[in-house]
Amino acid sequence: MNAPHVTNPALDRRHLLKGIGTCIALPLLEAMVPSTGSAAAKQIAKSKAEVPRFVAMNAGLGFHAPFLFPEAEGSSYTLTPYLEQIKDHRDQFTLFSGLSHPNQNGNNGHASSMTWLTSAPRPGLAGFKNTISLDQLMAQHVAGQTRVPFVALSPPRSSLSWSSNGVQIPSQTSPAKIFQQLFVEGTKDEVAAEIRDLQRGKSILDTVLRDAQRLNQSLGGPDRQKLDEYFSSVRELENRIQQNENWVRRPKSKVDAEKPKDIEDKNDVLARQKLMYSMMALALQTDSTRVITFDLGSLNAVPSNIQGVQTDWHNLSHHGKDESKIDELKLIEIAEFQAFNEFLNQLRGIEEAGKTLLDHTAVLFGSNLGNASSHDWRNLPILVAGGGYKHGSYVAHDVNNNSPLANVYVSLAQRMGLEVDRFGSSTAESVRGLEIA
Amino acid sequence: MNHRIRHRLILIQLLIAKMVILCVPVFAQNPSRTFLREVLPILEEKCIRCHGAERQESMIRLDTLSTNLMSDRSVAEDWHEVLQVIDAAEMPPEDEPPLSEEQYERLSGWVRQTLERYVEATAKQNGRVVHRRLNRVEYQNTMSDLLGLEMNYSMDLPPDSPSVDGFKNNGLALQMSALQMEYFIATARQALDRVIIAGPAPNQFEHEFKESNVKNWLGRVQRSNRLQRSQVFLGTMTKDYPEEGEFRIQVTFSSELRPNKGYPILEVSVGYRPDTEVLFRSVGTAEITSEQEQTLEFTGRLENYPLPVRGQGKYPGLVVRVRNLYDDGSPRPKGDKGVFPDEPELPVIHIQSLNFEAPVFEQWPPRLHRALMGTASDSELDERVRMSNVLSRFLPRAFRRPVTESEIKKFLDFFDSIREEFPTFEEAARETLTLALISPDFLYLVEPAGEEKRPVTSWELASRLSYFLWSTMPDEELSSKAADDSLIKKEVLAQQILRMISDERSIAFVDQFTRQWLNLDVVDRVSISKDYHPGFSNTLKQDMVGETQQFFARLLRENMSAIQLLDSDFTMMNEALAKHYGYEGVWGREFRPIQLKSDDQRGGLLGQASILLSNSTGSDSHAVRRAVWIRDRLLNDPPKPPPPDVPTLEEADPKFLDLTIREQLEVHRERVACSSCHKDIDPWGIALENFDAVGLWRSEVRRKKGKKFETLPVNSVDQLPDGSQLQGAEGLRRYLVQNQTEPFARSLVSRLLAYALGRQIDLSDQRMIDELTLNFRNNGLKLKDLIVQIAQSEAFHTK
Repeated sequence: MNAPHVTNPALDRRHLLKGIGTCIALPLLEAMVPSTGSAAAKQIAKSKAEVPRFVAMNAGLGFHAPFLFPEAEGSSYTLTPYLEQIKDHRDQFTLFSGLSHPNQNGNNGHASSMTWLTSAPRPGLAGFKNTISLDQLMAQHVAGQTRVPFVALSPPRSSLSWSSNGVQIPSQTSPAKIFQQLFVEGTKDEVAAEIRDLQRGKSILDTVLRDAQRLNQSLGGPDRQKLDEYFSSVRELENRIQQNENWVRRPKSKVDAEKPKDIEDKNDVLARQKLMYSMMALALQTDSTRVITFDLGSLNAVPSNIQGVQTDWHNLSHHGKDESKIDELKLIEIAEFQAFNEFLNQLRGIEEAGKTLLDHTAVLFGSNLGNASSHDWRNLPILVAGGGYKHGSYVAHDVNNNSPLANVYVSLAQRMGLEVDRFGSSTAESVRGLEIA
Repeated sequence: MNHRIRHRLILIQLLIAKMVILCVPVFAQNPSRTFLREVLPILEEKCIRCHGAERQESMIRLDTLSTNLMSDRSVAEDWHEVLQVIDAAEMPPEDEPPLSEEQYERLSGWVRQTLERYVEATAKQNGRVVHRRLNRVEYQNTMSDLLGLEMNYSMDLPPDSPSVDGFKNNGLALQMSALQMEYFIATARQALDRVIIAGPAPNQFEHEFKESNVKNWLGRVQRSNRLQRSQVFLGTMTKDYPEEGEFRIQVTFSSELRPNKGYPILEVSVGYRPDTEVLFRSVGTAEITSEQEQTLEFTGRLENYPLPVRGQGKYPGLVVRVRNLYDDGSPRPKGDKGVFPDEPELPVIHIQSLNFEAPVFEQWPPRLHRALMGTASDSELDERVRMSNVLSRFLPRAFRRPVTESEIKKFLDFFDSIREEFPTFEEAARETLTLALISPDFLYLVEPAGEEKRPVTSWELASRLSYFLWSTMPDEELSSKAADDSLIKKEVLAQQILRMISDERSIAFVDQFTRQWLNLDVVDRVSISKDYHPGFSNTLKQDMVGETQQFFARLLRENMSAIQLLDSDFTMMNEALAKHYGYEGVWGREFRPIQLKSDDQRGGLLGQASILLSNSTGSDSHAVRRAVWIRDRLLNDPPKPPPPDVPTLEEADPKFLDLTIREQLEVHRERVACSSCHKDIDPWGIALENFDAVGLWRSEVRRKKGKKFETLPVNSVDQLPDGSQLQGAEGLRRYLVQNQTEPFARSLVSRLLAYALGRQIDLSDQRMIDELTLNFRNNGLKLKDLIVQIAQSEAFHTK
């Protein structure tokens, strides 16, 4: 495992260098273990190079549909202002309209952001309980195979990821901390201390669990559920510690990038998105994780550093067809598509097993609102890139009778190797226009 | 029967209390047959066209609405809604033929009976408090009180998700995840690490500064002993300072006050960490109202402050900064480079000396350690005995109840099992106490119970009271009343409730309840447009929230009538807010009651900038948001969220955007699809159109057109569906006080009860809410009395 030289043409260091500009150099990845090594190493090299990954990005304030959707379906559509920004990848993505989850009326206009990756009905209304999100289902499946089973990213106070109990999984907000966690090697003492802490954590959690029986006796239904929630989070943490222990002993992936400085200006949405995207590319490329969600965020303030934008973003999204507001909104959304384009560039620039990282990463990019101005949760903008699908088209599903978005999720789950034939409100294993290449 | 009764909420009050059984043949064994024969035909004739397969107005669909209420609580809520609207004759809508007398009786009779059966059948399980996790605020307060250690315990914890009605202490909404568990472990270890010390006493340091040292530090601003506006005094220690433990800073100073200006504000901060964005953290501030020489003391713990990295040569070491924070907002004069401009009209602070000591302890080991671990003489004892003593002291406080021998033994067994892994007794003890701090008995308000309701115990009651009124664990006195079981006695309970409200810790209740009930956190989330309000300072937002909270606090402490939340002749102001509102002669940052000018249209919550701003766009008012806020927060009757296919406003007409908001909403209401809801939304907000985004009175609306502003007249008159004319803010207030006292009282009762219990109010609570509301009204809506009543109510005493 320690062979320093690289002979596996499937994963050449130079390709890595190409991938992310000057950001990365000379990583000694496990995926780069020479193919002349032991059989086990060979096995890892092969499997790592072809492992499927999944990332999902949700724009909580939506995208202005007329600037996104082309007029006509098919592969010869005319580029729209937003698609213009990602035209270099035209052959690598499919744009869908006419998809949504059913029954998404919620307790407020933005409630469907809670269920974008889950498809649970009636978000936030009486009796609502969320269900597991797509990424978490995948993370359960690949847990233990990478340093962290998943990464959930967002600006403060939101997250796309929900556990199997329907508990929102707090997300990470600091690129610097993620970098630290994934790439910065501790000293020998620090690693020893971490291992010791993990072991102590295990014994303390063990003791808590042993007490579960006492408390669970003869409790009423809702109380029992609350305790179940408590104990399952204890159990989950225990599992994670177990997995961590294996990983703590192994050296972290080395990347040539400096630890980034977090962007202090919380209104500089674009700088924050870009920095997060490059952390995501690093994490995927080094196979530190295979599942990432990223809530692109929203703001009740003026985004910084986008020329021409002077109005509060959320306010702009409720443009009520006011031209001047739409013009400003367009500037923000174009910038978001440009940032997304850079991310696609990064993934596509990294070669893996004769293909690119983008080929191995299913990218879901879209929004939980079809028309943010009126909080319409139907006709969502949904873009799937990479992941080994057939791409290049715009596929328009029925505007009045939307196809279930969860059908897309079944296919994405299957791509990750899960043997499932349904997810949430799905009615089929895929949708028209989403086919394996 | 009068089909156009508008006082629907009065009817609802009567509804469950009376439970009139109407002369409808109902076959109890087979309600669905009755339903099919007697009820469904009415629905089909009168309702299904708008609430059926084709359209689902207000998101209600009746042809498929289940009649099996037991299976789904939300179904019961929906039927309840149906009953409300037919009782109030809101449905069928005006332009449709009404229900015949017989149809009304049959339909309402069936719904009423079905609901009654549901309430009866579920009375034993429903309306129950669940084991609820301490929320961030409660965890923060509880850890501080339990350990006595000042620390930011909740820094890393994710925000708590609010319940549907906006409360952050709702047991069902407060969830737990592995990540939170991880933080709870890490936080407990870190805190115990600071409290339980091992090893010999560290060196103590003391520094006295007679003048600001390091004069040209960073070279930009002149430092001095005489502090003008935002000028600083620095005490810098390059070597001889510790990095942990408690510090004490004493500042001796005098001041020069100025007529018709506020008081100087002395701020003490500790830092300085140039490699992070946080250079200093404020230890505290004090408003100086006397010119006399005096000494103030500030304390904190060094590890909570951004300390310099030793050996980093470029910047000096630990810095204590004293600053004069007073700023009247006037423009700053230009000074020569490096010289502070003279501002003779503003107040000044003269620093005589600054004294810094750390770590402070009167003996070793320090007080907090001894409180947990016992005195030095204990260290002679056998480790297991020592640990057992520690646990016997600690666990009852952590779990807020007595603990049994066998519980202690479990912890001792854990201690035994890990003792060898740790080099010292203290470290193993820390880990053992960490186990207690992640146990559900600590993290949750645990009230063990089976499927049936039971009265709470004295200990449970003590915790309920304490988290309701203080957002923290019971104090010693309250615990003692639980220990001798006297708390369940009526007079002891009443006396404790009153004591707790008078205690300054009840500010936690005022803060949390008003924030969540009135949604005050939104004030921070609305960004004020620089174009529209160029002079607006964001620091004013805190003062706005302060006004509303201090206002509520005054009504509570003085046991005044809650009707003043709707209309009052005073409000709370400090200097900054008075300046904003245009009141003179209010100095200093303390809030005080100010009599309102008779013509100034303020008074009650609806004249307070916090409410007006948080329901604005930051550029302009937002009539619909304000209206929804009134109906949701004040009247507990929120309009349904707009359906997803809601048509957008008249984009095609370029003139539309030139109309006033009032006119735009009128156009909007001409559409049938919008009108059914908006005719009972818009007028509530239109009435407040004279208040701009930052809560100032206006007679013209300014709107940006290109680079210029154009002005439109304000029209704040509109009509509610019941025919009442609302003439601006005054008219709205009058209407609320005269016509909506009952719904408002009921709404306040419901929200307070939901907060007090940490759960959502449901149908089975209606009877009690009726009772509380009636008493509340008969008692002149006195706020403190209501809190006492709620804390004495049956629900508060039932698990």
